[in-house]
Amino acid sequence: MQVEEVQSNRGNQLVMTKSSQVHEHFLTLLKSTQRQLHKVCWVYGRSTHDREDLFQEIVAQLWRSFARYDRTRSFATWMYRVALNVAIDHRRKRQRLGKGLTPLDENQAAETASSINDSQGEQLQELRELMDQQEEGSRALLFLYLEGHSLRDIGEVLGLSETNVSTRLHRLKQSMRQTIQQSSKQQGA
Amino acid sequence: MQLEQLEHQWKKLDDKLNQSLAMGHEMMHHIVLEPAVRKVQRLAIWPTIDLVFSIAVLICGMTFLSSHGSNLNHIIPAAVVILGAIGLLVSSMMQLQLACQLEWGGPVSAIQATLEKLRAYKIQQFKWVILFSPLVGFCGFIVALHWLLEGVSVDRVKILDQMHAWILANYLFGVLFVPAGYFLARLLRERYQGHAWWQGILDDISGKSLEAVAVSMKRWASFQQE
Repeated sequence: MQVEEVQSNRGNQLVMTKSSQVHEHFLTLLKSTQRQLHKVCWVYGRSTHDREDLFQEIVAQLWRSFARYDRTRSFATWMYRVALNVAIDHRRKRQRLGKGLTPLDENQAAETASSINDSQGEQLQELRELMDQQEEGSRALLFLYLEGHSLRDIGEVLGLSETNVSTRLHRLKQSMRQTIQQSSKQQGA
Repeated sequence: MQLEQLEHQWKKLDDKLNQSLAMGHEMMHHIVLEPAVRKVQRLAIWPTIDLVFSIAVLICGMTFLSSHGSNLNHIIPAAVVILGAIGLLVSSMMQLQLACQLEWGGPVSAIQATLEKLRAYKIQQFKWVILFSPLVGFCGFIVALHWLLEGVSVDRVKILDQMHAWILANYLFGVLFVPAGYFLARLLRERYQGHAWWQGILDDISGKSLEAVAVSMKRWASFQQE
């Protein structure tokens, strides 16, 4: 009887140790990519509160899917895939509820401007508005490009070929240049 | 401002993010160590509930039909309930299959296409459930009434015979509600543009949401093509 109890306790301890090791491993990996996650939330969230919700949703989904993560592949690529999938879905749900139809909230603009300095905040706001005008796929593409990823990595995250990424990026840059020029002209007039 | 300047500004965003990192750190620990948060597979909740409900209705309908199969007054409502339950069962199974196959760590374009497909199934199910609810609901009510009257030993044939016209009127209303509900939703959806909740429901019933999903699916498909 006592032997059985001891064995059962040892078994429980082993399970506990293994599970806490997985927790720790996951948290370590996540900490190293936390900054990137916050950037995804910055691009797809509409307000501070919305970004917090989104961050929580992404981390929860990452943890749920962690068991299926193939350790032989890059964690960053997998993390970007999960984060972008959750973020796009989150944004679509918000739009359906009518929460995403309004332009960027005023607090957001004020918050961005005050956190760095006025001119930088304004430019960041402009960048965010430009990103907001893009379709979901193009927004994800632009985000990964701004993050400095290679065409191959971008293709791997989005499920596109390198040639496709290159062509789309080229078109996207052209259309963004035109938008910037038009808005500069309007401001000048 | 030039595009290059914007790229430069993106790098500056790092300064701003330093404030969020501490908050995120705490949140991550909470989510990972909180079993209730991590175990919930939200996409599968409603299809599972619908699946269980439709199986229960199907069993009740079949049992009723096997014991009252000789009378046409019993066969019609029971058959309608069974058909409704089969429809719900098939739709829920299709959704569950997609939801369980969904691997969030897959390529963005493929996963978004699957999510749109899942959304289309959900909208279609919602639309038909609403449009057929008066007919199937009334048939369900008639089946339940038969059972109830049997239970309290009242002469059910007499009572239901007296309500013959009322039963027929309800069947007719249920059948007419399918096209009428659809056209009413199309008519009213413009009026409720300021009310997100109502507009969402009317868009689902009238097919506008499905059109939006089809556009989005096409967009993701063309995004994958070179």
